Amino acid sequence: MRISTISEFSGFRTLREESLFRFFWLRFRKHSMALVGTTIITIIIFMVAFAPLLTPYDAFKQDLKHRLQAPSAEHWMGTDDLGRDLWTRILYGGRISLSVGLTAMAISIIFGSLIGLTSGYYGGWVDSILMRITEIFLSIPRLFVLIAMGMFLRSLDLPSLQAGSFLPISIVIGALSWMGTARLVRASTLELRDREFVQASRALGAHDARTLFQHIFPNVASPIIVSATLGLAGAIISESGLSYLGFGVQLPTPTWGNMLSNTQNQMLTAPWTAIFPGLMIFIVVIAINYLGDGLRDALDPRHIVGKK
Amino acid sequence: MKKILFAFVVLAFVLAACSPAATENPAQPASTEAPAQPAATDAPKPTEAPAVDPNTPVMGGTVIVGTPQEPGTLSPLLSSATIDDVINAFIVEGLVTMDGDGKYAPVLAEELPTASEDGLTVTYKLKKDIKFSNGDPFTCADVQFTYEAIVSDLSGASTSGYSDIEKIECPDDYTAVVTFAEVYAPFMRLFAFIVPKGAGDLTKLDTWEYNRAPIGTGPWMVSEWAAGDHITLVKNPNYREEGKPYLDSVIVKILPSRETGVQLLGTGEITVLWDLTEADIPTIEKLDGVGWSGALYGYGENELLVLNFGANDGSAPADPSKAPHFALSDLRVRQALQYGIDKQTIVDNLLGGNVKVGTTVLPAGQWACPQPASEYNVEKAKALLDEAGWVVGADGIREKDGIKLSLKISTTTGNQLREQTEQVLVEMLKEIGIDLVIDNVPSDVLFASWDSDGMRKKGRFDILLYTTGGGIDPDSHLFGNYHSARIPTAENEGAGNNYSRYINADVDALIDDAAFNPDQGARREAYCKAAEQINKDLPRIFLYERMVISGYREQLQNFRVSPGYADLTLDSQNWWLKP
Amino acid sequence: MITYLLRRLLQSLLTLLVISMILFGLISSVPGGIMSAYQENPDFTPEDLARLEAKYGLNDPAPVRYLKWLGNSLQGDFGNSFTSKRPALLEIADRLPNTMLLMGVTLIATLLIAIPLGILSALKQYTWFDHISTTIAFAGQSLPVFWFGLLLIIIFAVTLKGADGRPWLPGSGMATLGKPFSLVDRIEHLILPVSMLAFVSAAGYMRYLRSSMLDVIHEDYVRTARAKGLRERVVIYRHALRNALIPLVTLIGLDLPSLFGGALFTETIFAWPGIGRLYFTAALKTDYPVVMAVLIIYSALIILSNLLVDVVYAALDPRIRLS
Repeated sequence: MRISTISEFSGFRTLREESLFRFFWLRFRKHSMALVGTTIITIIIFMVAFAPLLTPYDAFKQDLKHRLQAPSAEHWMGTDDLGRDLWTRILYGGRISLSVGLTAMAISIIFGSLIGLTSGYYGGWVDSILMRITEIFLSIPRLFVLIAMGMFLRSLDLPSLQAGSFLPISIVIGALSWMGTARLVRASTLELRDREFVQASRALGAHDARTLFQHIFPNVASPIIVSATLGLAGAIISESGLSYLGFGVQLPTPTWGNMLSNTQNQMLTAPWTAIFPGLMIFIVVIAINYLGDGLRDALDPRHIVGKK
Repeated sequence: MKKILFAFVVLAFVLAACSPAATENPAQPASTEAPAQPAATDAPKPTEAPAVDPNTPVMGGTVIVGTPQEPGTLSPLLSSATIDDVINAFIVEGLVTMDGDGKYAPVLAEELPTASEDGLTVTYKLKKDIKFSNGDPFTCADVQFTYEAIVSDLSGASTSGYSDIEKIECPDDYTAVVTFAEVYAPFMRLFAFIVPKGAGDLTKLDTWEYNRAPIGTGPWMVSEWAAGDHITLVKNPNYREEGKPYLDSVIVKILPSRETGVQLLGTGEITVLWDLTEADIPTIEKLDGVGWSGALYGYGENELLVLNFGANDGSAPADPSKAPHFALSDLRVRQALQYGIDKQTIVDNLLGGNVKVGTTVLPAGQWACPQPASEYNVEKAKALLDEAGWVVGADGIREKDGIKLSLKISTTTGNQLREQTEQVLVEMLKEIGIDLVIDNVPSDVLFASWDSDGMRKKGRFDILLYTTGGGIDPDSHLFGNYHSARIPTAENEGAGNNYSRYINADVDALIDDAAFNPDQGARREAYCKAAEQINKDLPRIFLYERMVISGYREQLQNFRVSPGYADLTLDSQNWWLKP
Repeated sequence: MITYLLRRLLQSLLTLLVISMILFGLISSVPGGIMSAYQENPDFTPEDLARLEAKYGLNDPAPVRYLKWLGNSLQGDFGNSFTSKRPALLEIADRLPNTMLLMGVTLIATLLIAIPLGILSALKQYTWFDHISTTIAFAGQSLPVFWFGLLLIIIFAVTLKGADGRPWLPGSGMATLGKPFSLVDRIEHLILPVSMLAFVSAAGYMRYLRSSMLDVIHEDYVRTARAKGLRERVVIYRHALRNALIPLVTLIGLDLPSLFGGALFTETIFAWPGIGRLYFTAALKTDYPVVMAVLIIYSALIILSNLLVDVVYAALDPRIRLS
């Protein structure tokens, strides 16, 4: 478990690191859907990153004479309620939606890991308090409180944040989804705390933080990675839901979620405006879920990997 | 019986919805080939029909009124939302109301009330032989009770006017003499509803059964309220007009959204859809057998932009020149905004050209003061901004002393038309180098009170977008929105609606003069002058005129939207369904 | 056991108390509320406003209001709705049967889909059947539930029309107005909202059941049962299935919050007159008493179901000892 320190000095990948990765890859690639998922995510990330190359239109430029046009050769996903090209808005909206997902996921993972590590490592009253807090957060009806928080957040005047910023919504989602990670990390930490290498490190007089981050953290990384992946999928869905209810990123900045917010008004006359953004969310989320499934199979030794 | 009738009505709707599509075009070519012949043979046909006038009202049937909002209560003493009053007007009547033309008309009063010479005594003659839905007769005692209820501790009604009443006397059952402690000029608006003395104990006003099933003199009464779903109204057996209402029942159906309502109106599942926007008109007109009725509310309402003259940091200055807005305090910037907005484009594209562009604070009615439409001129806008010292920066956004000309615009979330308008404005103002940033909030947050730190009251905004306009008399609107005494500040605990923090001594004087001048012609002139000056100072930019609109199936006869608050229910006793 | 239960109950009550504090703080810091509607109306005099503020108990500072609220709600009075002036609990009670109906039918539909599919998938691991049902389950878990609802409306309540020109299924409400109650009519109105929810939640149950079934099949006692020469059917249904269903109990309990959440979207989209829709409109109107009542009741339900799950689990699985 001292892989990183050795490789820092040698500048080479150690045999052990190589074999670890190999082991992971051997297991991961057996999961064919996970591979498909990874490919789809990669493609979408590239599409979104190189959006200007993939469309001749501007995501913000309105064309009021051509509102709500059905899909055609010119606009193959049609146009929205202000005549903007839907495909272009989906590409640019993907940037924001994925950013919201990643930011919210990062917040929940960092927060959850910190709480889980502290709780599991120190035990005792620290553990009791932190786990009670976790329980409290687990016991609130999440979506309902998200709405209340959305109302609250909209009422704040945050001069440092641009109105079109995706930070507020990411924070709200992240703040209400760290509990699973915290519990997972705590359980693993509890297990590891009494293992020889951890005790040895403590006996040698290592600082708590050092023991935690050098010895324990790398060993709980696997469940964290898996829950991060699934958390990303969840955060993207949450963004869309909150935006649909009107608490998302402000217009005219597109996100897949806020593109859906007005569609109930238009679904009779312009169903494509409802179908395409939702479809994108669906594709990305299912791809991430498959990736997460593959990661779990590959990283969790207790999980049986199917034989073909 | 009811069931059969309903099935029949439904069938009629379905047939009506289908038939035009089936018979639309095929007849056309034939008639152009031989125009004379068919006309001759067709002519006698109408007379073959049985000699029943198609305009004779048909009895029975059910009308379903769709609304995206559910009333909270049907008690006029407790109502806090427009929908509450719209629905309770099916049941509750007053002494005086506003008719379809926006004029006062007597309802339970025999004639419009008269004031004594000194203005302190107002006498109402009440109609005789009127019974409430529970069978109790309507007398002067009910007028007294209504007054007591309004000024009671638990009342949620406005007491303005009523609080000036000293006493109400009943010389006989059908005369009510109201004595005021001081003159209340708009006395005509009082007693717009009557609460019967049998409604309940005033100390338990909040828990009256009346609140969910009012006892009224109107044509309808509540038979069922399924929370969150529908309210069923049936005939008031004691209604004063013989044989009316024609319909058996009216059902108020709560819908998920206005748009679902449009769909249901098309299929005939609902007969009336309350509260449409101008942007819905093109869709409504495409539906077979569906029409719409609209009216300008009161003296006209505008969709408008409120520009903040004061600092947008929540300091809520009583005098904005002490803490001015970094850009909007400059008249040239405001003029540039007006020049940079192409109102006609908004009207033509977002509203299907069905409304007029906004020009004045007094667009309609007997106080109308027409003003020329503002000019759309990008060059003039740019020149004004240059002159004001705002120069175009590297990113195309103007700046001055290192500050970017970036303005926030806020409206209520979930209102698609307003969100569209904002986004169009963003593009238009980008042309002249202004960065408009949308920051929308739920309506309750936008309109929050001073005590709960409302952004509008405290001036924490640059530009607001919403609808407002003159009500029954221009006085309350102009005074409330444009008089310097009505700037919300800590001193007046946030009273008033002058959110621009607009101060113009001339306008103040004109509004004050008009309020106390008995000469209606002079008042009109004063208001008009004020309106003119307001257009020069530009505390607000009027985008377009708003209407109160409802959609309805054309089988429904005698349906008309009126300019009053109870816009839907006018003459509902005369509604009937043409088979 | 009794002491354990008592301790857990006490803990739950404390949790609920803290939750109520947090939520009250959050909600009372949102501006708006009933007073904004009155302030907008120029006809309301300052005296009117002061009287109304006192009437709704809004002139106290937040901590005082919280204590008052707590005192009243401990006696079962959650205050009156600002909009309807009726007790918040009554507003909820009016809509409770509708939400229960929706959620009950959804739960049954979910289990009817998930249990057979999950078991068959596990028994036929890596066959085409398994692959297809696993893929569908993944799809179900990845769908934005409200979007799925919108699609169902577009397809079945708008686009597809019968010979009479009416859409196949109703897209809103829970009964056709003006008609007397009929079971067929109610079922027709249930189809779309229930499909929307059941499809999404069945996916999770199915995957869970599949993997727990797989685990169980490889357990010693199942192998022993097989070795004893019991028929495969008996092995599966008497030994494996029973043990695989235990975690399902947990899942149903723990899944309650997401079912409530799903109901919020369903009720909003399909105009189902239930608690979710009540909550959403109340939240937008900052009708605090109703918002608080719904939040607290749901939180209590979640805490209670967690507790129940633990207890039931212990009763079902002798390996777990409560301490």
